[in-house]
Amino acid sequence: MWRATSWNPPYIHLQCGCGKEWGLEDMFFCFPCSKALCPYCVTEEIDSFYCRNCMENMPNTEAFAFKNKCARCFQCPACFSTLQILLNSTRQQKLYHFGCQSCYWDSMSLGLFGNSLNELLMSNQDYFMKDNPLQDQLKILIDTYKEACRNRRKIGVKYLQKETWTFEDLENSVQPKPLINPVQRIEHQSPGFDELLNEDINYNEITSMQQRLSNAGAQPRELNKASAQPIPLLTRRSKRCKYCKKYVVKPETNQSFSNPFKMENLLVYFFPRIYIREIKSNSLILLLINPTAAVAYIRLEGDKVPPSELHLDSYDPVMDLVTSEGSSLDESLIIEREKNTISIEVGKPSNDIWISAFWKFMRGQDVKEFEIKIHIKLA
Amino acid sequence: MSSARVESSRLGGGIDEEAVVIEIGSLYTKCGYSREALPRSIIRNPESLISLTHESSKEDYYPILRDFLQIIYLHKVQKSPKDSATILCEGLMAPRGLIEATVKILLEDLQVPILYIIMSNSLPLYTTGSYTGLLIDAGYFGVDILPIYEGIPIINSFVSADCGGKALLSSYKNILEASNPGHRFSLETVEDIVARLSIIPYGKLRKELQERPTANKIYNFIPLKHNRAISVDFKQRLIPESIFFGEYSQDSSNIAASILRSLQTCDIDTRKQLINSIIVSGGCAMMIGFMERLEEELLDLLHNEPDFSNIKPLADYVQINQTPYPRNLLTWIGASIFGSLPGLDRFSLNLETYQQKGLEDKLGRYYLFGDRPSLQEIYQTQNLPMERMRLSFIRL
Amino acid sequence: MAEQQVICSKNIEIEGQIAFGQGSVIHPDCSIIAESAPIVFGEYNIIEERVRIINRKPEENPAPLPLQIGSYNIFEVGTIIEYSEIGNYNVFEHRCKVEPNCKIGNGCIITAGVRVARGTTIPDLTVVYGEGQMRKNQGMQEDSFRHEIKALTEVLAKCLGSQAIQASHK
Repeated sequence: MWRATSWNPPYIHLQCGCGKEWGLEDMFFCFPCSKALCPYCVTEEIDSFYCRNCMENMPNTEAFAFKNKCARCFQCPACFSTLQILLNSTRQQKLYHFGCQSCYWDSMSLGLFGNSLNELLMSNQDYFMKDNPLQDQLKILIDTYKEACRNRRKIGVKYLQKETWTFEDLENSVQPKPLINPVQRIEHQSPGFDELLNEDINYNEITSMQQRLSNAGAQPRELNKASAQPIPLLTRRSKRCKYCKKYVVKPETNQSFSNPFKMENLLVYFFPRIYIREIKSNSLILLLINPTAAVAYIRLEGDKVPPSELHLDSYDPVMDLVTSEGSSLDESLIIEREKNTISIEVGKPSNDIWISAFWKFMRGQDVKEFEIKIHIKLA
Repeated sequence: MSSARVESSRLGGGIDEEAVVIEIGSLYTKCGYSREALPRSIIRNPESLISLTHESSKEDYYPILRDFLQIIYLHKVQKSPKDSATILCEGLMAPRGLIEATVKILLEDLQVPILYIIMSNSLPLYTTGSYTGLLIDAGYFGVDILPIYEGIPIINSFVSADCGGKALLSSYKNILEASNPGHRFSLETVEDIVARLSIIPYGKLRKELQERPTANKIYNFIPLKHNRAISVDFKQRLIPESIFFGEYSQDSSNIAASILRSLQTCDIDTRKQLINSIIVSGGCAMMIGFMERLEEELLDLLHNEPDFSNIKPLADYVQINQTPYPRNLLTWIGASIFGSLPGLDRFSLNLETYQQKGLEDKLGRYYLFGDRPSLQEIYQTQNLPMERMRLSFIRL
Repeated sequence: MAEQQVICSKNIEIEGQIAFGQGSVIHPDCSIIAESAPIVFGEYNIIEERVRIINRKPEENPAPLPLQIGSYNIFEVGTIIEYSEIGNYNVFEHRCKVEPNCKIGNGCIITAGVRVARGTTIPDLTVVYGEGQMRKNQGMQEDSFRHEIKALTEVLAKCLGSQAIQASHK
């Protein structure tokens, strides 16, 4: 669902502590735990709501009152794209109405138009404002059952205390009459044979299931009766580590900041990006790019990987500045080193290669270290 | 004093806040909040979920449902799963793997604080306001018929007929592929054609069709998710009739006959009230003519069929409940009502209990826990075996 | 803009017999290829960038006939039109594709990215959207549409004017 990486080989996946494999872009990094986390190892919470069209923020209570829908933006009943407000000026007066720029649906035929912008919006506010008869009926039903629950329990207690049972007791205890009775006979007004045969069916004028279900209450069969629905809001969500419950990703609630996130600990920012540069007959050349702002160290362990510790320089593209370190380490694995990138050659025991990486990087003054398994699958 | 306290605590137990109500159907999943008349969102299940059957295990369901349920919470009902008490509907005929995987994901992965598992077959009854009804759920896998008398589901009269949406779609697909050579139809395309075109004949139309069985009219159109135009003839619009209301015989599928057979097994005193309040729910009931035809078939069979001569007098009482709610959502709406009633605690399950005891036997303990001795007494006087009663208690 | 003029930009790929009516505008980088039979345009057609209008080779098109395109049509960026009958007052939005042997009436809108399947007949005043769904085009007024196209042609003539050539019916 949120996978950016292809699941077809050749691919490079990382194994989370929970045993599942993910692409690097999907994963997060928890600093308190020093752990790479997959999307299944973080819990998500909803912080705030916003409309994807007008970008208006909505507090939680207001969003709930409007049923998590935007009060001003509407979607096309036919193709679900956002409706635009159009001005029909060919008539004597100006008429504002909704129109879809994608499929040319128009709200004029439904009677959804107004002389001013406010009038138009108010005419479609019915969705929220009108006393929904279905909701009223539901309230009656709930009250009826609540009342019945209370009575029934009283009866139950009363009969519990009885020692002998009579037939009347039984009769009384089961309350034979229904509580409210909306029963009606169905009227059988079918179309005649000729009527049905000569009926002019335009397949596209009948709603599809998706169009029907987007308006759950009415479920219209004809597309020209389907009305514009308010568009659902989207959410800003924060993510926490499942183990230490600390934030991993937290969106900025204050909109005046340019950065949309307060905290965004994605693994991409802290673990080297790995690409396959070349596949040889019995070895593999990998490209490692250091994303961090300081020199970092990686130790690879695997079936045909000579154990060695390597360092990756860091590179600042804005200053065009490479921070490097004298190589006191064994560099026999490295084929090429350029800025923050190294190319290394590892053995290829089979098409399924597992390499353990011990990664050490600096964040401010702290040194963070963690282990992750890399799974390289070749075709 | 103490008894009063006990009673008040038993009276409580309803949830104050709106709970998330999820009904994972065979084809569509409905989700929303309790005390609301309509679900917030109706989502088509992923194809991989639809293709799983009763034989599939918990492990098959898990990876599919994991993403699906997360989408339901965060994108559809838009509530953090951590703060949402959840009501989950479980059908009598629902695959065991589905419910096991769902409960595991909700409690362990999404960390839902408390989960209420309720039986979905009885829920449409709550939309009528009565305690007695003959519930017919015309769903995707089959038509489930469950009589409920005074709040007790009569499980030994439970009938599940095979003639559901799946049977209809697969036979419709074969017919379409035969009449449009070279085309392959996906399930969604066939469903789209059925939903838009098909009609079940009833009343005047039904009579006229018997007199004039042939008609030549061909409709050409491009169905949804299909890239070429196809043709459907007039007869093919009427195919659902043969699936739901075939000629009456011992082995053909006819929903009305199944209903009457179920009714024959009910207690003689309950039949009149049951047939007087027939409640039809499920997606198939949305088809044009389904309700009218059902009523006609019931009357026809009662009047004319010798097999049902012993319940013939019931013909005067046949009555199908009209409801202002869409029939394909009745189960969800029932759950929404049920979720706001007191006494929901009985069905609750939290992570602690789940980890200690696992998921209880299907519907076992929750329904066994009837606190209405008067009704238990009735059961004993009727000499019904106790195993049946084990399943039969539903609390209102 | 003078009468009998066609605004024809540089860098266009034209092959075979093609006839343009007056007031046609052809943007750069589009290809109009008549491999098997001529392509005949009516008046005031606007053909935007990267449009491909093809009358296929005889091997792929067994019975080649001239590709007739009516008047006052807009082919927006990236449209692909194969051998079809096309009427007047149509809008082909960005990147839509009309496959061979289609019949498109008058006043239709083929919305962005839509693929019109081989052999489809689209009646007059239709909007084709989504996955080939059709609906009635309610907002179509021929007079105003004609004025709009003419006005657009005027503007485009000014923009592309330096590259304009005097073209006439072939």
